[in-house]
Amino acid sequence: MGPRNIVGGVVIFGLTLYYGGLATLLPKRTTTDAPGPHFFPYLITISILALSAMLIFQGVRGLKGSNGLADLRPERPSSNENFSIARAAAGLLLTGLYFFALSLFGFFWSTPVFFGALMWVTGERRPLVLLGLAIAVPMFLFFLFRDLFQLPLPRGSYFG
Amino acid sequence: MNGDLLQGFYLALAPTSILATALGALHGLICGMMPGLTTSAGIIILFPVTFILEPTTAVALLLGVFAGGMTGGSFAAILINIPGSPSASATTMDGFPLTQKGEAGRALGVSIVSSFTGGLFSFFCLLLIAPQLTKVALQFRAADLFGLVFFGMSVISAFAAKSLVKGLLSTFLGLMIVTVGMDPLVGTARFTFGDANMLAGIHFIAALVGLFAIPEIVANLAEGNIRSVASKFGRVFPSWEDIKKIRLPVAIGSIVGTFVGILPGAGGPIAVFVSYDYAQKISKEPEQFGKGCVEGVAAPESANSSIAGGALIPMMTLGIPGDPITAILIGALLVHGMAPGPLLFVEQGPFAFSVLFSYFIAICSTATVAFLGLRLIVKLLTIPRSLLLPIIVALCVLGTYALRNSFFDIYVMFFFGLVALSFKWLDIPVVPMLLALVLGRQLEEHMRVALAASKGDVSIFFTSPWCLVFLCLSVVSFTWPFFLEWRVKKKALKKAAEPSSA
Repeated sequence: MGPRNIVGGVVIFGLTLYYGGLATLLPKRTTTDAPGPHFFPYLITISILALSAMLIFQGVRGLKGSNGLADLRPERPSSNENFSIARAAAGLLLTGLYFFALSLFGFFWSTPVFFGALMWVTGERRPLVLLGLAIAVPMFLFFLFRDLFQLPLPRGSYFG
Repeated sequence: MNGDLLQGFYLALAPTSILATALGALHGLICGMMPGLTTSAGIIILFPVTFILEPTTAVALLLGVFAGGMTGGSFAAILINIPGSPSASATTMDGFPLTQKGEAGRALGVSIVSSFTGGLFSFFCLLLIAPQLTKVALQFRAADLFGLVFFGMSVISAFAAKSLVKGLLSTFLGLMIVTVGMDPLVGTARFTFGDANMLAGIHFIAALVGLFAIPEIVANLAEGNIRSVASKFGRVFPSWEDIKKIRLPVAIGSIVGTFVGILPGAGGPIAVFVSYDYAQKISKEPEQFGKGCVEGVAAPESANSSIAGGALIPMMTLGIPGDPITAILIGALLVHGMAPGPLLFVEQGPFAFSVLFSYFIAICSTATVAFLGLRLIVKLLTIPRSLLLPIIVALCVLGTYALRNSFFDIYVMFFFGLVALSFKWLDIPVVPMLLALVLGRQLEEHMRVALAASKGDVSIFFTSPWCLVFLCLSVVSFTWPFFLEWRVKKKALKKAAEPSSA
């Protein structure tokens, strides 16, 4: 965990410096006696800078940090025979692309493609099942939410 | 107050509320049971549906999921040795050995009865404590409220993380995100980069969906499929002999679970393991624990269900969520214009009491649905993840988009999903950040109002008795992890010294 703490600490420290810099641009005084809009961000900046410095220090010195009650909790058991980071990364990438595609093509057109692709990534290889479910389930959700629940669904800029 | 209580009772007994609770319980049992589909995910999935419901019905539905999820977690633990939720971890220790002995039905029956009893106990605590605590909370001024919110955050920072520094970092990063948008007192735009979407701030439900759903999806993608389930499990309803055996473990689990549930952030896994440990200590046959005894199922199951009622106490009376699920419930109430806290009991008394009684109905519905539908529900354990995962993603999109009809919220959700994955890599907990997102604005507002009232004099936080109590409790929660570590080290040293002296 040492090198990770250093990387994490440095990233958070840098982000907080940027945040603190932006906070200095906020108005300092208000018409009331209350502290201005800058006050809370200043407190946050100082606290995070101190904490991230401690995290870096822990990482450099290889310190474990104090253990809380969380250590009494068991690790989540998992069936690890099928474990695949590549599948998880592909799924995450697909999810990101799907969110982006929603703004272009809307829920109706993007979701069946996403369903098919994610089902394929998770191991479904039977063409009929893949195609059938990738079309039927999104259609069901589309009509359920649009017509029965009357909720707004994402509409794309090209199709909708 | 009595009139409100009666009206609340009638509201909770409305047919639509009862139906919503029963459906919620069924959904909760299924989500709690499926490994990787936690109760939080179950509530997130149903979130868009609550937008079209009346507030009472919406909350009844979500409470049904809450109660059902707590019970459902044990099904997978007993049948396939994988806890459906972290709170069901201890149930595997005796539940699965019972299944291996061919007594899965007995284990499931004991688990349902114990969950019901634990939930019932926590409901009575909720009903007794909540109105009294509300009366006290109504006396709080800005400084006291600041102290209270600060205490809630300090407890969760200290208890929800392996490292205090990481717990605090998670909290402060959450507070940093909360400052995006309009200033709560004077309305100045902060950190918006000129973007109109940012003016309204980050919607915490969008952040929450990202923080909890995306890591679950990724973990499920990595783990892959599939398991076989015992198809025959015999008689489910526990025998009179079993009921006599589990009386004491259930009592222990109910008390421990309710108490732990009240503490923000302490969480289910702690309560179930503490209860299991106590039940073993007082048992006449402690050597049977771990080999398949019903007491080992009853203690953790009653604890894990009573946590729900315990967590509802600070949520309803103080507006402080005890765990991620109550944080989501607060979000659901806020969407319907109901802010949990002491004022809810004053301004919307019948509604506030209807929430309490809906929890009671949720417990009863869960037990009924579980006994009647058990054989069908457990069959769903064989549904492949390849179908479940895209459905969960699509429902997350629908729920998040429906918040403000904005793609911005969908991107926010994905961003927070990536934040949660980075936190996982760094071993930083997400729960403190979630609490900061829920309570951050209140913290800033109360602090600045108190300082304005005292003309900038910070001694106001130390001269108000309630605030002082909360600040002292915060100091205790910050020092508690160090005390624990010292005690563990002392024990280890003692243990190491023993063989050498012998």
